[in-house]
Amino acid sequence: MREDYRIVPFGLGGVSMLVLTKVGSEPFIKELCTNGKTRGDASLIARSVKRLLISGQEWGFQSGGLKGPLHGVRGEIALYEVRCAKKRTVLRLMTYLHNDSERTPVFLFEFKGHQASESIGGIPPADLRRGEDLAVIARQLMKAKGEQQ
Amino acid sequence: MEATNTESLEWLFDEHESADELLVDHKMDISASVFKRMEELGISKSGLAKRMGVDNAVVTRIISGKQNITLKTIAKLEEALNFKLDSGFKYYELSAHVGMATMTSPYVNDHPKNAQGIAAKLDQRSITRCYSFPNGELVAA
Repeated sequence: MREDYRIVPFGLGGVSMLVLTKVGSEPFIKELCTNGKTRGDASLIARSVKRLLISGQEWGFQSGGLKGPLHGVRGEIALYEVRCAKKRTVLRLMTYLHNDSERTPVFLFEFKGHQASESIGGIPPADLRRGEDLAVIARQLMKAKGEQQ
Repeated sequence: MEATNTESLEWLFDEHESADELLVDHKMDISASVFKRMEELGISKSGLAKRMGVDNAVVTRIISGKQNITLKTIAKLEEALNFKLDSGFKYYELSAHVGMATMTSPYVNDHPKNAQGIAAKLDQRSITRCYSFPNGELVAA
């Protein structure tokens, strides 16, 4: 099991948002909170994630708030994109859905879509590869957590 | 599955939202409420469209949060799904249990002080499930 990463839960009023975080680093959502320019984005992510966690993944797929499994992913890792709608753009979160009864989402990082000419489904290949690697770590940590309980 | 030492980010919900952001929020809240009610009633998108007398694409756009919904459309949704959407576009469902209202809606859970008053009203009227609205009205479910 990777010991340089951990899964940090954040309370969103009755539901928890799980964020994969490198030990010694701030979770991406906390980084967004600390910067005045991106705090609005953190607020949007919190509201969107809460709505998704409450309303369920089926609603997420139907509403376009949850997209995937992502194309171009190597192996069989459940990598998804959570889309937090703004007026004209969206904030994208690379997300791993764990293979448990609730398909618990673990949020990996925020990324910009359509930023590379060779992007796969609007996702830059570098972000996709990073997502794959982190999803594998998230899977290990969630599995270990499940076995502990 | 909220852990005991979980850091709360609820303060983010108090951040200022622009009109555009509120618009998107309202659309997505309506989408989630409509979808939940459709699931409860076992109604498909085309079934709802038929009940509302609109094209299937309108329902698809409502669910995807792309439709700029008019009050008339909201009224049609309420009639077709037999529920109320006028409480900040959020779906409230309550259940009373041994004289204490148990809020099943997380939005209502945000205001636990409301629970006791509502529970008392439910007891008086022998209602076990109802919809609650900000004006104090309780409608049996």
